[in-house]
Amino acid sequence: MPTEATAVGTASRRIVEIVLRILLGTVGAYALSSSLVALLAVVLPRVTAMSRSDAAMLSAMTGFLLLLVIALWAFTDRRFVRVLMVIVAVTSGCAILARLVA
Amino acid sequence: MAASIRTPMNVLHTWAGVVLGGVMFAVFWMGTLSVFDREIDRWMMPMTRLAPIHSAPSIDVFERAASQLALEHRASQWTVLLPNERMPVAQIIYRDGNGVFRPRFSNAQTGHLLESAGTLGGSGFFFPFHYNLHIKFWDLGYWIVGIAAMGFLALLVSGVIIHHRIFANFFVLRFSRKTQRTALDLHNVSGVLGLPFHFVITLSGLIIFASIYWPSAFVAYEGGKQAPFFRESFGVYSRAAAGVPGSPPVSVDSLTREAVRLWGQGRVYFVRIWYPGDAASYIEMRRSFEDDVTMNADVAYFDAATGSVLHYHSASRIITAQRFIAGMHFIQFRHWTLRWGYFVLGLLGCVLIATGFLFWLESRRKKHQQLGWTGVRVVEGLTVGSTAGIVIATLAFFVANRLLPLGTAWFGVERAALEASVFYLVWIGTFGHAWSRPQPAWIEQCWGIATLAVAAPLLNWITTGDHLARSLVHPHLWPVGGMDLMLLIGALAAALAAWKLQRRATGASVRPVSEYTIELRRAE
Repeated sequence: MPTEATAVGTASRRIVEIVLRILLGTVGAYALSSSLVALLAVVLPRVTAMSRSDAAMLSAMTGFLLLLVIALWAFTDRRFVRVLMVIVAVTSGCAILARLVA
Repeated sequence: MAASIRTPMNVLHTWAGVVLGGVMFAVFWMGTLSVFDREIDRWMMPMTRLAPIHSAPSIDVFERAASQLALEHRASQWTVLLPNERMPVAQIIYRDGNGVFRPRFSNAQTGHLLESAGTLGGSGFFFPFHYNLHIKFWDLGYWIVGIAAMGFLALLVSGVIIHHRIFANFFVLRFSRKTQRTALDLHNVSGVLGLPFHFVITLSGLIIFASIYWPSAFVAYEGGKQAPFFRESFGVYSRAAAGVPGSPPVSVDSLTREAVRLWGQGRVYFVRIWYPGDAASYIEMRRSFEDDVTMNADVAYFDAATGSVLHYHSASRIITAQRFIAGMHFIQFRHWTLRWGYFVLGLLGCVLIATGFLFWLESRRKKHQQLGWTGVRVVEGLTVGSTAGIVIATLAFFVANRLLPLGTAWFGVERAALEASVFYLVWIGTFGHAWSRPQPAWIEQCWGIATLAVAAPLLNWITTGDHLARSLVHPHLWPVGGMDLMLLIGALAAALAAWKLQRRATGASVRPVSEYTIELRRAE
């Protein structure tokens, strides 16, 4: 992140940081939204009168907005470790839950 | 908004823009052209410049031509797209023995096949380029476009957040001598004015391919397979070929009436015969949506030999909502004012992306020069090639279309593929040119655009006789005349830009910064 780079942070450390941040904002954000989409797709038919095909389409359409918000957050929240932990925890949680419900 | 969020948003906006801007410009440019894809088809396929018919066409008339084609090429299926306001001919698409889909056009009144168009045209080249860049391997093209589209949405949001005075600067546009200032103002104005359109067009474009981008939505289906989803939601029906010849098919025209009765409204625009001549042959029909924003998914299937209904389907509300959003994007309904609106707003999107690049370059040029960095030089070449370069490639594609005689084939490459090769080679060439001659690249490529954009209408005149005075008085030639006019306007704009850039480069015009600019700077 472009805060005043302290003398401590070496150039290579910054590169690693940037690469990790890009991975979080792209792959991480997609994984998290993808697991939310999966969970929505299996939960919606259970709590509403929606068919599974309608639920699949609605959750897929919602996915883009979820991804947009999550990616912006993952790219810009300064607390790197927290972002990483939230993404890993929620992604795996949703994915397991979706499998169980399905 | 707190400054703490602005800084990271600024970084994201800057770098996502530089990295994805080239793809974004290509997608916006091709999408803008696709708004008039059928009109470009008329220009590129002179044999289809026919007067539209006003009575409902008979499908049996096309069936004779299509069946003949199917026999000759051992087609496993063929489709007829019926003529409409923007397409004065019927399009027959058959799948040949090698599994390749091949289009032919047929006279809307008589059903006679027209000579092969020998081109992909606007609907066959620009339109697929817009959503998959013609990269079909592993759906990679879809994913690249999808990433660029998501990036564009992120740029729109972060752009609003980092814009300090979005309302105060709403209409501020300063043509000062400093390119950096003008670029930023143009970037802001096109970004703010186009914001609602750009957001909706990008999101709706993604939603069209929702099933590609979100495979996880199909977790409720065995193995995540989508075929049952399409059966349930879009009523897709299929059965295997029997492998034995069947009895001759019933009249397709009589079946269209039955299909309309099943749907309760509309008319048929799409007829597909599966396995022509086979005992299990069946006929698929789809309902037209030219009077509706929603691209309805109504479909009906009939047994080809008996005419009995096999299956019919109307979409649920949620699928219909998706078809409405898709319809907003595809703009296949009749509305010329809106069509031009899409075209202008699409161009505004191109301006937005190009000026973003320019601002990035101008705000770094001095520093990079002082430090001896190559960043500006690399990105400038990328910018020239992906903005001016793709325009040149497009125009070269048009010129090649008018220069290559019908039926040309070089080294076994068909004419349509040759045209596409011209596009790609010229496009690659513009990048090479921009990187090898960075100083005059903009000027020379602007002159390139101007020259080609004059050559195209001239060649159209020479090869078809449809010059502007002729095309503008015959309504059925308006697509051709309209395209010639747009090319000439584009040529004028490019020549003007080249001339201005040239004057600035030679330092001929050292004008004082206008009072207006000074005033505004003070006001900041």
